[in-house]
Amino acid sequence: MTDGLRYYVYGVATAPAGAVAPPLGWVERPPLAVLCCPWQGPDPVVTRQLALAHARVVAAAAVRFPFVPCAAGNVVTGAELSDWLDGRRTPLCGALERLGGRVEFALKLWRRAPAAAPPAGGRAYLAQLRAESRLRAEARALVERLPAGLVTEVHYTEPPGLLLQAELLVAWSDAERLRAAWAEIAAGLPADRGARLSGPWPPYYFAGVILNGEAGVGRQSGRCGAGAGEAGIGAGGAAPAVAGTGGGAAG
Amino acid sequence: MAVSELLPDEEVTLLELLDRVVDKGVYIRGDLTISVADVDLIYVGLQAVVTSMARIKGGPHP
Repeated sequence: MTDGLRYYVYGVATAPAGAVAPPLGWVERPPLAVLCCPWQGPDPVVTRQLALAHARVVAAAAVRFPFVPCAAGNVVTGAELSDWLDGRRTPLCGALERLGGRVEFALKLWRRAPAAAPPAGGRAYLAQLRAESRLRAEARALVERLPAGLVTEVHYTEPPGLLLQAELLVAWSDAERLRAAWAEIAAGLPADRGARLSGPWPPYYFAGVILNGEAGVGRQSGRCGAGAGEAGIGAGGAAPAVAGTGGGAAG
Repeated sequence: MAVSELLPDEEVTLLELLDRVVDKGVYIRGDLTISVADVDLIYVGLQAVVTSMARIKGGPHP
């Protein structure tokens, strides 16, 4: 892997891995194998097409073998890939064991009514903080009503605009059970609360936590304007030709 | 579980997909800066995504 080639990386499995067709291939460094394809040209711009193509390849891999998904857009040299594999062998093997046979869901909870403008007075401001804290605690209590043992791991974050986001790791044999259990809970949500359960996804979030660290989840991205480069995925024909627009809205 | 089940069977926004596959996941180079284009094309019907994955062969996950 010191041949000077660059690779677009989809993720990591255990060597020896399943057969893939070119241009996809494995870079093996036992006990690990990296699913990738050769990449030429400048660093990729992540377009809708590239993100979808990446998601499709990762999904196809993740249903067939334990797979640690990389984020879209990783292009590295062979030397960089070797160094990374050597330096992360233990956490990668641990991630394959911890995430194999599991999928993740993202559960977002928000308040439909916009939060009131921050009060000017100190006492009123503190009261508002307490009210928001209570709403977040209520949101968390809803998540905790999911049946015991159904969720393998849960991580909570508080992204801007949301009361709470819960990342849920579950055995994929339990994916439908999770949906049903949440639907039952969500049916009792107050009218002024919104919730959306998204998934199942390959375990992108939890892989990031394990390999990047907590601080590494949610990387910085620069955004180009619309049409600023439609970089094709290196996997050539793996890039989807889908350009349809649906009307699905979150909520 | 089929591939189509890991590409959600409901319509999701492009931003939701980007949040998962761009903002999450493992990145190899810490200094990698990702450029994201065409985010104005908000809605993507994942039901429309052809999920045939002939490029990856092999048996199902145990």
